[in-house]
Amino acid sequence: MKITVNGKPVEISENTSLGEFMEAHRLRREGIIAELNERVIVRGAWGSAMLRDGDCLELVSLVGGG
Amino acid sequence: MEDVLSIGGKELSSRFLLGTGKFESKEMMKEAIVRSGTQIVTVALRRIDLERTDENIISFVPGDVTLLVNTSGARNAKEAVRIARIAREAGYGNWVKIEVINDSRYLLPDNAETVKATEVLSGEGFVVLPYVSPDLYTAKALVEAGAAAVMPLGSLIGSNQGLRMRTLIEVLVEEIDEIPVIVDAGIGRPSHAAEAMEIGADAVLVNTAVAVAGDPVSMAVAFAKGIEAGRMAYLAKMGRERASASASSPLTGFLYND
Repeated sequence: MKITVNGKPVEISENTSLGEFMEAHRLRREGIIAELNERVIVRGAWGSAMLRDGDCLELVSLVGGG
Repeated sequence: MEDVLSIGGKELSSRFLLGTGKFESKEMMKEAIVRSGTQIVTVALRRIDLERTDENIISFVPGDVTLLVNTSGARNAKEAVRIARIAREAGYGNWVKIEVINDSRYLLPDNAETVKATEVLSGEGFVVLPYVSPDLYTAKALVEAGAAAVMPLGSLIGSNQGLRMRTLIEVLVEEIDEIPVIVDAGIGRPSHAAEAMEIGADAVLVNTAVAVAGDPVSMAVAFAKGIEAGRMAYLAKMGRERASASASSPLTGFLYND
């Protein structure tokens, strides 16, 4: 199935949870915020959030700014 | 009686807000924060680079400092509101600096969209500090919209030009007494920051001038002293400017006969 991650299309297998996706791409580190279909999913809920075809995932973090 | 700055339910002793952008290293940024005595720092929200492993900036911000997340990147009120909600849902608090900018040459804020975003976010319980061009009617609208402060630009972001907007800032200081006036953007020297405080601003926000200085930590301290000096001078009620001279000693008793 195909999801969009930070605006780019990514192929993933069926029955992948957000947690599994983040693990596979080495994105479990502190500070990364995951917004799935315009809703922030807290870290503790990554494991139970199942990804579906057409999902839109935004991975953001705080950075320096004025 | 202590001179305390009240914003969004917090009582602050420092009138120095510090930005976290452009520092050479996060360690240097942290030391500048600590040595400056600032109690509020701004941060931004961006997509991560999936190929890189960056350090988490928050781990370099002392725990007792309030995070003021800015909505830089937002081109309109809707995008600003979205950024603020993401930051809050992610656990980074409810203080937001609204920054709605549509041009990359001048980085001038869109006052109208900023007022709209302020209405929405203050209604949702955010502590809203909107960044605007110094316009009296915008400032009055922001008070009505529930802003916790108004942040007029001193001059263009990152320009180090100082208080080019001085006259309009003075109007805001004079006419807006419901919420603090915080000069933000373009402050290039401690003397600019002191000037802002001398004319009655409640606080200043500085980023570039500290971060790109040869010695950012010393510069942060210099700014802190300038802001303190300007505030003290304002409270001590400076004498007015004159068009002609006023002698310091009597013009009599000179050591000659006339």
